[in-house]
Amino acid sequence: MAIKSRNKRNINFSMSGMSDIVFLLLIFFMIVSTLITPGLQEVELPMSNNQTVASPELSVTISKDLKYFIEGEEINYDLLESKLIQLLAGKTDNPTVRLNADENLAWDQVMQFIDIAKRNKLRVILGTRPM
Amino acid sequence: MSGMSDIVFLLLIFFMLTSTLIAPNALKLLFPQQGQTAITIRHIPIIELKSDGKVSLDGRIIAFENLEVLLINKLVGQEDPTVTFIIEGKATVRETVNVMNIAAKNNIKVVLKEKS
Repeated sequence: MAIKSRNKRNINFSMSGMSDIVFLLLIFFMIVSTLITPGLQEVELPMSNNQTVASPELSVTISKDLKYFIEGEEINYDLLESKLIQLLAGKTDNPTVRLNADENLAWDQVMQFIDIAKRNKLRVILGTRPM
Repeated sequence: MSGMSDIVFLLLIFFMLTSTLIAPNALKLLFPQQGQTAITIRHIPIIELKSDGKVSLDGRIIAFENLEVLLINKLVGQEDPTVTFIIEGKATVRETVNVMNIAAKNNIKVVLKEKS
């Protein structure tokens, strides 16, 4: 009886497709986790090894040439305060803002922002880069 | 192959978790609270950062390298060591952070004060 069923199903599970995707995701996350930078602008942050657990609601960047950015979007200094209030409306009391100031800036400039923060009862953390 | 994909999955999940849990490198800025008259029994040292980058501790100009030792000496034995930090306007952010680093390293609280 040499009659065999011809449509035998292949019951082997092929994993290679899945592991391709998994590898791709793995490499993606490995690269992304090392590339995470706080600001998109080119600011040289001051160096510090201190870490804070406070998670900021948003980040404000002051570049070397005194341009202001909220979450990477450039904004005029005069509009900064109203925009901040607008963005932080309805957030928990005393929201935290991460300030990324270029390390070559004079403290005056930072103080200007801190004054805004104080007026609106914001907590400020100063962004740094690891040594 | 299944052994390898076990490891790959593990790594994948590990990196997914750590990328969300990364603690940002930052320094907390503390300001004196308004309308609060603190009764100061203990002496809180004042660090001043001058516009030309010189550092003074309690009114005496000192070398930056000596700041750490002198500061620790002043605060030895205090329970919740705190310093007041006055920064002149022309001092750069870099110099400011350098001073704050010393304090952060020794678990000293820094309260920023405006020059009056």
